[in-house]
Amino acid sequence: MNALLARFGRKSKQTKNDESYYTAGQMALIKARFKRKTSGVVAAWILGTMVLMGFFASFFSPVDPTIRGADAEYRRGAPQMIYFWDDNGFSLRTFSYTYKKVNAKIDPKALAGGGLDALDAFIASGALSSSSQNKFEVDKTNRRYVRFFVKGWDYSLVDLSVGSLDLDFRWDRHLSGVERGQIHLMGTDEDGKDVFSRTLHAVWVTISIAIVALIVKQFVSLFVGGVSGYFGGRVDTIMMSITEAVRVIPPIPIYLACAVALAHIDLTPVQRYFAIAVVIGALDFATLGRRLRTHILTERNQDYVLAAKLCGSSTRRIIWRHLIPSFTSYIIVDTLINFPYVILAETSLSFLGLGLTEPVNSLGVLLQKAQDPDIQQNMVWQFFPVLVFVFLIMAFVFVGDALRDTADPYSEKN
Amino acid sequence: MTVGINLLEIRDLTIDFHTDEGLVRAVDNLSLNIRPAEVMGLVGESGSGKTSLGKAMLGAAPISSGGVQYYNTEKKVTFGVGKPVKRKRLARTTQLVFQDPYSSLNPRMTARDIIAEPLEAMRLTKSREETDQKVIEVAKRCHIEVEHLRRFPYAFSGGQRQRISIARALVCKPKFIVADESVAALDVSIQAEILNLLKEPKEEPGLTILFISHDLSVIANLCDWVCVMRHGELVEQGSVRQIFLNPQQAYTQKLISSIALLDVKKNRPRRSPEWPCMALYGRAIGFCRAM
Repeated sequence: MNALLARFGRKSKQTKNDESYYTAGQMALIKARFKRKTSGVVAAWILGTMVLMGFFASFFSPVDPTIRGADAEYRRGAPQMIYFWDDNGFSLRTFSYTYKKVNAKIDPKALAGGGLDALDAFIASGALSSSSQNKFEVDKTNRRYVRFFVKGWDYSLVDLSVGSLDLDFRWDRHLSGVERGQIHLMGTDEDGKDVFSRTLHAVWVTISIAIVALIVKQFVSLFVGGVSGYFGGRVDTIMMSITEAVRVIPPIPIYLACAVALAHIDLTPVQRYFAIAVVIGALDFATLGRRLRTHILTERNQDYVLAAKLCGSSTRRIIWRHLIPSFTSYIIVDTLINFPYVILAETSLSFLGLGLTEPVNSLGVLLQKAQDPDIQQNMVWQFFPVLVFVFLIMAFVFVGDALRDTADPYSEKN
Repeated sequence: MTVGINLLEIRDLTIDFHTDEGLVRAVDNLSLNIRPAEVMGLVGESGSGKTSLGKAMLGAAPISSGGVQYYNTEKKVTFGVGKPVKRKRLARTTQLVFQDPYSSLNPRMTARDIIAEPLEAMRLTKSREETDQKVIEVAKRCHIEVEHLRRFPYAFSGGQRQRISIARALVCKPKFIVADESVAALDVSIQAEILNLLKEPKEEPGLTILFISHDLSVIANLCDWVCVMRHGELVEQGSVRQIFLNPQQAYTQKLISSIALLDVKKNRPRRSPEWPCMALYGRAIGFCRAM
C-alpha cells in the first residue's frame, strides 16, 4: 500500500536540505511554490481545460455553431438530456431521445364562428404565449445513441498558413455526436444554433482578442516604461506627461471613434474587432508603463547594477542580463491578472453594441444576447455562456492571484 | 606600458555632490599616491569622504577637478575632469568589494554567473570551459565549495556572500582592489574569516588593496600603510606603527585614543568563551598594542 501511495500519492515536499532547493532557477522555484497553492492549481487546471477546449472548439463541439449548422427542426429548444437508462431498460451507451416540434393548433373556423368563448378557450390553450414556440414532443421509444469521433462538418484544426505556405490542417471528426440529427446539450437559440458549440467557439475568440490586446499593451508599456525609466531626467518627464495625458482620455469615445473609422474599411467583424483590440491595448499602457518605469528606476540604483558596471559590463548587457530578468515575473503576473479586464472590456463593448455583433461567436455577444427578456423568460439555457464566462474569469483571477504570491521567489528570506 | 614607482596617483582631486541644500564637497583638493603591492587603510569618521575617494578611484564618482592616473597597467588608464572613464580598461585593473553583501549580488544569477561576470562582460576568456575553470580556481581560493556554485545568492549566508563578492573581484586578476567597508555588515566572527581571506592575496605579488573602514582594529590587523581623512582632506598618513603608536596630528591622536576607550569598555564584560566576538575584539586590540 505504501509503495502504491509513494507511486501515485503526492510527491513529498522539497526540504531545505535538498541541494535542488538551492540550485533551483527562478522558474523552478515559482513552479514549486505555485504547487503549494491548491486554489491556484485547481484554477489552473480548469483554465487549461477551458482554453484547450476553446482552441480545439470545432473538435469538441458536436454541432457547427454557425448558421450552416443551425437545426431548423429544433429552434428555441431546451437542452437535450442524455441518459444511461429509462423505462425501456439500461444501455451502456448513452442516448438521447427524438424530439418533435409541437405546433400550436389554431382552428380559424372555430375562432371565426365561436364568439368569445372560443377566443377564451384559444387563449387558455397557451397558443399565444411566448413559450408556446418551444414546446417539443419527446419520443421515448425512439432512442438516438451518442457516438464518439463521429464524422461531421469539415473544419480547420490548426491553421499555420503563412503567406503562400499552406499549413492548414483540416479534419472532419468530432469528439461526440449523435446518430440521426444533432444533439443540443445546452439547447438552441431562436435560429436553431447550438448554444454549447457557440459557447466553446466564443471562448477562444474572446481569449485570442485578449491575447492580441495584451501583447500590444506589453510592447507599448515596455517601451514607454523602459525608456523613461532607464534614461530618466527630461525624457522621463516628457514621457510621463504624455502617459498622464493618455490616461485621462475616457476609453468609450475612443472605441466609438474606432468603430466608426473602421466601418469604412472592408473587414470581417472579427478582423474589425482585432483592430479595436490593438487600439485598446495601445492606449492601455499607462498603468503598466508607469509601474515598469518605477521598477527600473529603483532597480538601476541597486548595488548589483553598480557592481556589474564596475565589472565592465556594457549598458546593453546590464539591461539584458540584470534589469530585464528582474521584472519578467512581474510582467507575467501582470498579464495574467489583466486578462479578465480585457475580456470584460470586450464583453462590455459588445454589450454596448460597439464590438462584435450577433453572427459572431464571442462571449460578449452571447452575454449581450442573454439580456433579452424573451431569453430570460423562455430560454434560460442561453445563460450557459454566462456561467462559462464567470468560471473563466474566476479561473484567471485565481491563477493570477496564486502567481502573484509566488512570482518573486527570491523575496523569501532564508 | 607606463611604468612608475606608484600604482596610482591622485592629483588635486575634488568631488562635489549637488544636493538640495547646495553643493556638498566630499573630497577637497586631495593628492595621494598608492604604491604597488601594498595594503593601504583609509580611516576617518563617517562623512569624511572615504567612500567618495574610493569610488573616484573606480571612476564611479563625479569628479569636479583633478584626476586619477594608473601606472603599471597594460594600457594607459587616466581619467579626471574632461576625461571620461574608459570603463573596460579600468575594470581590468581595479575591482570593488562592496559593503553590503546582500544587495551587491544579483539575486537572479547563480554564484557561478556572478563570479564569472567580469570575465564574460570583458570577454577575457575564449570559451565557457576556460571561464568555468577560472571560476572554480578562484572559488577554491575564496573557500567557496565548488558544488555551491550552482546555487543562487539567497541560499548563502552573509559571510558566504561576501566571499562570492571577493571572488568576483579577484577573478579577472586585477592590480588593485578597493574594499569599501567590506566587513562592516558582518558579525565579528565572520569578519575575522573574511579578513583572513583578504589577507591571503597579500602574499600574491602585485596585488594592491585599499581598505576603507572606520574600524581601527581591522585596519591595524590588515594594513601596511594608513591614511586618515577628515572633512574631505587628508589629515595624516604613515605606516601602521607610526599612526597607531606615534600619531602626529591632534585629530589622529583623538581617533587612536577612542579605541583605547573602547578597549576598556569592551573588556569589561569579559566572558570570553561565551562571547567569541569579544574575545576577537580583545585579540585585535592586543595585536595593535604588540606593534
